[in-house]
Amino acid sequence: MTAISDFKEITPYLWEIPSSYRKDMRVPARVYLSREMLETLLSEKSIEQLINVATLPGIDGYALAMPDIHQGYGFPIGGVAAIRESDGVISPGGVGYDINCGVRLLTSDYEHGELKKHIPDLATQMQREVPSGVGRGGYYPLKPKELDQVLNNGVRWALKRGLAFEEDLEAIEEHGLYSFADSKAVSDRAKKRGADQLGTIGAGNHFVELQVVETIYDQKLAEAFGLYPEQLAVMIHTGSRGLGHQTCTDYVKLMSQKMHTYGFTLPDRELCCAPFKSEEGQRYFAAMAAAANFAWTNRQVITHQIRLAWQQVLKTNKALNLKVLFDVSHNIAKRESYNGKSYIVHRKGSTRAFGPGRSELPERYRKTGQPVLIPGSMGTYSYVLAGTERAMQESFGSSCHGAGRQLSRTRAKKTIDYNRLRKELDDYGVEVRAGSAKGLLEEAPQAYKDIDQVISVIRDSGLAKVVARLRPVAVIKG
Amino acid sequence: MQPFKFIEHTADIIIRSYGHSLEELFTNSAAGMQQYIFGELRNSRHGEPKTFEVNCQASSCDLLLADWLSEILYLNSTEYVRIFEFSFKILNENEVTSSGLAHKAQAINEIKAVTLHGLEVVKRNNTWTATVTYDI
Repeated sequence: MTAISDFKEITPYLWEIPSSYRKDMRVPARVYLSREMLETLLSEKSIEQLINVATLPGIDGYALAMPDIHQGYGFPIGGVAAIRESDGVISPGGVGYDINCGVRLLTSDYEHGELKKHIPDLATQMQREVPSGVGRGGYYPLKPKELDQVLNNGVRWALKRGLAFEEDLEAIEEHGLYSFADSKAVSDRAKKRGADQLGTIGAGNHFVELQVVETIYDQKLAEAFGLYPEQLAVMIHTGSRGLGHQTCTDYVKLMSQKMHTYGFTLPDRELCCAPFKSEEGQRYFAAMAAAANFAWTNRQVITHQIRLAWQQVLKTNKALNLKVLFDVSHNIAKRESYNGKSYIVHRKGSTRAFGPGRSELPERYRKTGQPVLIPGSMGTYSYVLAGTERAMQESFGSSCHGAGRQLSRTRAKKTIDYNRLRKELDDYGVEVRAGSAKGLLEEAPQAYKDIDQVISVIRDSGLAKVVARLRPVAVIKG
Repeated sequence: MQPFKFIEHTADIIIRSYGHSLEELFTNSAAGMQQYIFGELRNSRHGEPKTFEVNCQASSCDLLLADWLSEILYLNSTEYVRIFEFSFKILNENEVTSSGLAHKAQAINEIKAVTLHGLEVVKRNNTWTATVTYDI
């Protein structure tokens, strides 16, 4: 286990374990945290997991972790690894089982005061229109041919089906279509697991939230993002569902079987990987990209259902005018260039935070940097940030992805009182539509780190600018 | 000897299971996973049971267990069934040929996948112990 003395303090918010710490490290490991947060973290295995990431063949710069770092399997959650495309690897465990789990924010033309009395009905109707919970199927079961179209064409499929507006696509990473996708690289088993799940949230920490813009921190950026005080917005947090889970399972199995042929020795089998340029590496990249397309389309279909719910409750077409502010992925491997070199940047529980000027950004965000969407836990604030040039220089254009868990689900259920939690959420003004008491307890705010602390570290380290803070007024969960 | 126990993990879940034989170990590992997904067995016995084959091969016993549990998870997710009884035709450290009796059941918790992180199958003093971390 590491001690605070093993770290070099680079700044009050950045700590480094040098590559000399362990023989198999290829680069240093760096974590963005305050001293207090780092001291708390030392009792769990996440730093050891970050050090393990530093051993991956082809990793460049540093194995990085964001301030929401916590223990995962293989990679820590909150981890970033930029791996050279030329001689490096791709690791399914570095993306995770929920491929392209991510967050989308929809902004409305309404202020909270205008719709206050409709909030309970909006929450109820959104819960009806957006299936949630374990094993719940959606309203768009797909036949094999159509599922292949989703995997290959991403959100363009939804546009063709009348489930998206053209302008929605502009505000999604990769415009909702990862062009490396190939449905043939996704197994029939993965397709079967996801075929009836398009347009569903799932369970766990996934949600749809109705939020109010409470505080603007950067007026100029807020205006550019279309945010203003008291504005109502909808946040969606979900991913590629069973299709992504099975795709990762399939390729972890394949790569763990082939590892000995590549000549790598790794400290954790869940880090199993293949050279990016190998047949297996290319095939996984194509399958992962297809699952990412499924996830973007999932969030798009949910967007459509939410628009319908608003229209049904408010009985006006103005309700359809929910605009996609942005859609970010926080479990994905992206092909990106830095200083003329091409990398496969693995982000597991980390959000891309590109600064101004990057050609990948939609025209409207090219001068501001990309919106970075950071959900808080249920009943706490969420944040909208903007990517910076500093992130491009230091963190391969990456930032945090959320508050980060601090209590296991079991401990949360044991230590948090359900009635008290409901009362706290009521007092805080949050309408809750949850599938089960258990699900609510597991995701209680007390189970997560303080999101404000996480955001402070990101702000003070310059990885992103804080633009706005949003308060939840209704939560829909499985 | 308890068949299995749940071990706390910040973000995921670990199930440790025990057995006097590999058959008992595999059965108890699956029972732990099924209990996490579906709750107590008495809450999910509905209708006529159906039989499913679950067969795997692997280079080591721990990878065999992980593959076998992944197959059961796949059946849970696509057939919406809970497998409550297993019989083994072949079971050694590299191969399993088994069948399971299953009822339709409603999941209460989601397991996304069986991971290889910290995966372990060991035999000490005639007792097998398996440790499996699940992504939830």
